[in-house]
Amino acid sequence: MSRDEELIEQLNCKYVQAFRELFDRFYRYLVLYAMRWVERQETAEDIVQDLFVQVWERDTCYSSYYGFKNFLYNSVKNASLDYLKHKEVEGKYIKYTILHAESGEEPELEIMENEIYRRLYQVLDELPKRCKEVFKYYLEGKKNKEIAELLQISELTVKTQKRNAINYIRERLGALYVLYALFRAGFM
Amino acid sequence: MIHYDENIIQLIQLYLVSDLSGEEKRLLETWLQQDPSHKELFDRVCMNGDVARDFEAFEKIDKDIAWKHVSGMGGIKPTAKSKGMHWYRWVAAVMLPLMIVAVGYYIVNDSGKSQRTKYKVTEIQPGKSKAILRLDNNRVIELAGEDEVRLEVAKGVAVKNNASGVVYPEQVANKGETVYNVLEVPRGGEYTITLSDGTMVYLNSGSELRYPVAFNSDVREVFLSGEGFFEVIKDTARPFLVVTDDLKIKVYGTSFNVNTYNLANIQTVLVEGKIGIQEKNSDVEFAVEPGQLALYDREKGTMEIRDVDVLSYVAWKNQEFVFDGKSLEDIMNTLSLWYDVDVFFQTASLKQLHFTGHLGRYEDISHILDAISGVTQVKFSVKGRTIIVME
Repeated sequence: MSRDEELIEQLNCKYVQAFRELFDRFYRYLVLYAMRWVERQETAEDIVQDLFVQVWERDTCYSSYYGFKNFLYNSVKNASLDYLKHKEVEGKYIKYTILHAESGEEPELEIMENEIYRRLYQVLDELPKRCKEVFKYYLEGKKNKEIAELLQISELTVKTQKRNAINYIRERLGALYVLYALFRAGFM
Repeated sequence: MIHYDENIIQLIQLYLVSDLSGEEKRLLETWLQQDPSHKELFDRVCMNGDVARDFEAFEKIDKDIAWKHVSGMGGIKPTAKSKGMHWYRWVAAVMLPLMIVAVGYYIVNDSGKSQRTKYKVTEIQPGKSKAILRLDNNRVIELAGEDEVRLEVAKGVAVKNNASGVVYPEQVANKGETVYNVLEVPRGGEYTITLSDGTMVYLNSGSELRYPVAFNSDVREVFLSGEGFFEVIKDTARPFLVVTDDLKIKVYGTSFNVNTYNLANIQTVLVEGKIGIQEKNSDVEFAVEPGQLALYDREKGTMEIRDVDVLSYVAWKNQEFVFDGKSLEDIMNTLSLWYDVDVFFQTASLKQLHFTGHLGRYEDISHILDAISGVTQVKFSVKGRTIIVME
């Protein structure tokens, strides 16, 4: 059994450690996801925390890792939209967001899209501190020379760190193949 | 049914961090044209995110504080483990091969957790900047690298020593007058040296570098045991040679890591530039490209060259340990050098457990021990400066 499916089985049996691991895997990305609608980080965090408390307290049995992910993304989205609906201020923008979000979404595409970002951020977050700093500037479109000046390191070091980062990202993303193979099996 | 190729997913992710080769770009384009749904996914991905901005926001979200709230509301008791929780990565990536397929390890853990104690490791400290400099006349100078001092290391040659290591003055020796110094880094130490040609060498714990006070005009040759990271200044007129027990590494202006700790093999990893490796008494040179590891089997005398994640081999130099699918035996060896402790495996089979994870080099050793014992049946017992590993 894969680690992912194992986690779900353990979650169903209420193992704290499995719950914590799933929390660690999803929490930050889900907050980011909620912020597509609710904007304020605090509100987004409340929504996602409530959701996890629910996951822990309810006796739902999840059938698969994919099913669990599906549930998380859906719940966060619905809770975010509910929040907007209940808010008294109903600006045009909010109306538009709700309308837009509710019109014929394709859940598979949506999950896929989110998983692409979630796993990418997870891998970026694993980079060692210095390497990550360099890479973030690079993502912002800064040139090697600018990065070197900002961080007071040599251009050579910038280049090296950048390449290290890329190598690491490539390798780690490669290691995720298994995940996606499973994901496919999950809803075929 | 939408079918996604795993490789394509990776290509999209790499596209997002703008690192696609020409070949990969063509692959992605072909895939996009195959089916309208492909294009739809790709457009959604591109439209809905901005990696630089979103990752910045992602990083700012504190999941440890959030976990406190969630576990509080959900009535989950804080456990001894919660302190080292960023360690959870270890959990995610623990690979349990053959030996211990701990079917029930969560059960064991769940009940055992509350009484789990922190290891008493007050005596064990991470390594720090320290070394011993042995001069030609057998005089010994202890280096601790704090305030700047000048030291005479050979007749008429004064080096500068400060927090960033020991620096030799730039000069070229006359033929036949080569004077050697030896920099010894003990267990629990690390040190940086700048040689007379400007080349920098980062030495890891338990390593030794022998080098001329000034290189002569035709070759730059140094002798290494242990582990060192080299940033070699380019000088086509004077090749740079790193000599180890069995190997001679010829350098053409470059940065790379040499590790001779392992009794079975020597690992050389090239970060950039170009190097060639020869067995000491052979003329056959193996060329190594950036991103490659040259693994020399000491017993068989064979060389294997393959692509690796360079980062995990040189992370020590950037204040990190990165273990990428390393055996517990290798991990404990690394820790024993850096924390200057002895390790004893009461259960030999545990050596073959493999782990993937990160650790700050200056963190307390208990973090890593907690992380490992938190997810497997491995237990550690610390007695003075010895760590006993058991089931």
